[in-house]
Amino acid sequence: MSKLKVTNLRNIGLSCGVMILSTAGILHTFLGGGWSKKTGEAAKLYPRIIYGILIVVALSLLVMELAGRVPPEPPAIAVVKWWQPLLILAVGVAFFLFVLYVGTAAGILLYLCGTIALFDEDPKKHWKMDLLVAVIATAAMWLIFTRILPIVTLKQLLI
Amino acid sequence: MALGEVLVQALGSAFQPMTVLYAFIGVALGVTVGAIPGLTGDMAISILLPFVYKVDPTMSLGLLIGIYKGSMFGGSISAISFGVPGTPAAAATVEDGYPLAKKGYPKRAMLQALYSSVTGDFFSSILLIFLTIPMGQLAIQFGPTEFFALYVFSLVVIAILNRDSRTKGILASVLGLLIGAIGTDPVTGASRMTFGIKLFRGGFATVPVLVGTFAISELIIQYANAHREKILYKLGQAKERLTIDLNKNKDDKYGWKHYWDTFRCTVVGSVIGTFIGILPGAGSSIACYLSYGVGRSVAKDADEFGKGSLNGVAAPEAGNSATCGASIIPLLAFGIPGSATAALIGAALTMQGINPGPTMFSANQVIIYAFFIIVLYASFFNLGVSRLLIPLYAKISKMKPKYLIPIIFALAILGCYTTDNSISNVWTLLLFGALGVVLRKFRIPLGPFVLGYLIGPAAERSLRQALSMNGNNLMVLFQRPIAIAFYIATVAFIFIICYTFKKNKETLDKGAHSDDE
Repeated sequence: MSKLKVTNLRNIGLSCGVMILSTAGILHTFLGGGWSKKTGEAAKLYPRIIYGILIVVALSLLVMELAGRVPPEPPAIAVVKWWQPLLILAVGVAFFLFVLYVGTAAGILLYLCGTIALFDEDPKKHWKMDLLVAVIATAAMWLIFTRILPIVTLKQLLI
Repeated sequence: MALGEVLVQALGSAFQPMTVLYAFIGVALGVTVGAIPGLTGDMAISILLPFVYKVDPTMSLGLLIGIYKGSMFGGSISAISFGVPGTPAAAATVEDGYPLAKKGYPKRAMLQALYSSVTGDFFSSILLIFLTIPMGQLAIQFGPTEFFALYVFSLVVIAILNRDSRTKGILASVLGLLIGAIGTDPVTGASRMTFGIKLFRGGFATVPVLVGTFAISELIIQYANAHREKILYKLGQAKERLTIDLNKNKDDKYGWKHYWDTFRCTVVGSVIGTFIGILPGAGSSIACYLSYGVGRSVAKDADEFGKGSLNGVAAPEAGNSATCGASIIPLLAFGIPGSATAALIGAALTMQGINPGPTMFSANQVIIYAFFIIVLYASFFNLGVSRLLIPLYAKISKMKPKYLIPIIFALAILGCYTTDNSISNVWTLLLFGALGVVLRKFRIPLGPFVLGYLIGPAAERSLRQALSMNGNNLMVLFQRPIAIAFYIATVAFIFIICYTFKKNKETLDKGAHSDDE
């Protein structure tokens, strides 16, 4: 038997993960928790069917992967490391908190300056252009959210 | 209301100055985002969802349809200029568009792409107008049994049309069904599958789910690419993109002769794209590769394919654009979107209190006819705007992502918050952004996932209504003629698609590798 490639192992992990979670999901429909008292058996039937199909599909994926039918991973996805989504989501949370607690214009400007500098190949060289883009984008977003589009909510947040 | 009166009102609504302006902006925006590699029409529409729901429905439809149409052509600009498809739908255009540009004919390739794109789009728009109403009238006859059979047909089609792995296509749509089942039981309204988490109560709001899955996950990947570019720059290994000069070669012209010479491939692409577009979840990237494969078999210069054939640009461009109008047909007639982009347009309609599906024909007649008119004139806007601005778009496609990504990320977060001033929308957005990356990482397609999520509650409601009306007898699902026809069509479709995919395996495999790039 030939050696399993990394993508095989990833898909095998995926299949096993889906099977374990789906089994837990089916058990959950019997044991309760997260179900209101009004929920009848009919409401539980549909999730059980879905979990059941998931187990069958994951099992067939597992069998196919063990047979070694592996499509290569596309380059754009391959460059994403597992920590990067978490970092960017943290940036997203930070941005939202900035806007909530510092104010819209200042929050957006701070966020844009920080992230543009983070991804600029040479921030020291391009800082004037980066700052100009950040200021213009901040002004444009402030206008979009408060003047051009008829969004009248978020006064405390956006003005 | 009499048809004449409806038409007069629809004309008035479609030609309101603001609606026309929104459609114009939509086309320009669509071509722009399509031209920039990494940005897609789906992303632009999903980002704009939180903004359009407070605008008049026809205006928002003008904007969204404009983006949809514009982005289809826009993707070909960077495909021809640099060999990098601006959108997955333009992946097949690279095969001949880029060699043509390298031979010194970038303008000819771009104009071929534009004219074939507009022809395909116009063809499917005409079909949209003539097919939607009869199909919608048929759908009015449907009961829960027929609708459930239609949902089964749609989900099977969505799943098996995934070229990479049909198993993962099925997995994606079933995961979507599962996500759609979280929150509330669609029949009794009781809460279920909340796992004690407050965020899960009431289910996930549609807008943050769509924006997170499509836009945030794509932005995360683009962030990672930008980070990689930065490292390569520091190591001195960054590659500069070639600059294409559209006025360098005086022989680089396009005329009617070129259009008529490639007309057969344009028609082939238009027909294939329209057919693929009507099928739920098939999408434009499949249409472009199938059109390219079939176009090669009917073209007189088949040997030139891959070396810089105008036919090799005409077929995929007509194919991908022909999915635009066609993918809207099942959305309006049955409430089932033909593509992920159509699903986003459906979500925009729902947010405005308009339920896509057969009820639209009685409740929102004016909007439907106005929509038809907008779809037609947006094609002409696409032709005019793109024809004039091709040189500018070729430059825009070189724009660096370091500026765009942070701005779009901020727009997505604030936009989702403003839909109902709910912080839980932001958490849902980020959660589904992360989930989208995980799905992409495992090569689980996003289209079937989202369509499963959107169709799921309606499918469950139909199933349970059909069963409860017939004493929980499962056989009722197989007793109505239309339902049986859908099940037969499902089985027939599986065989047809498996055969077609096997026959065009070579070209489709190329698509599978370039689709996510």
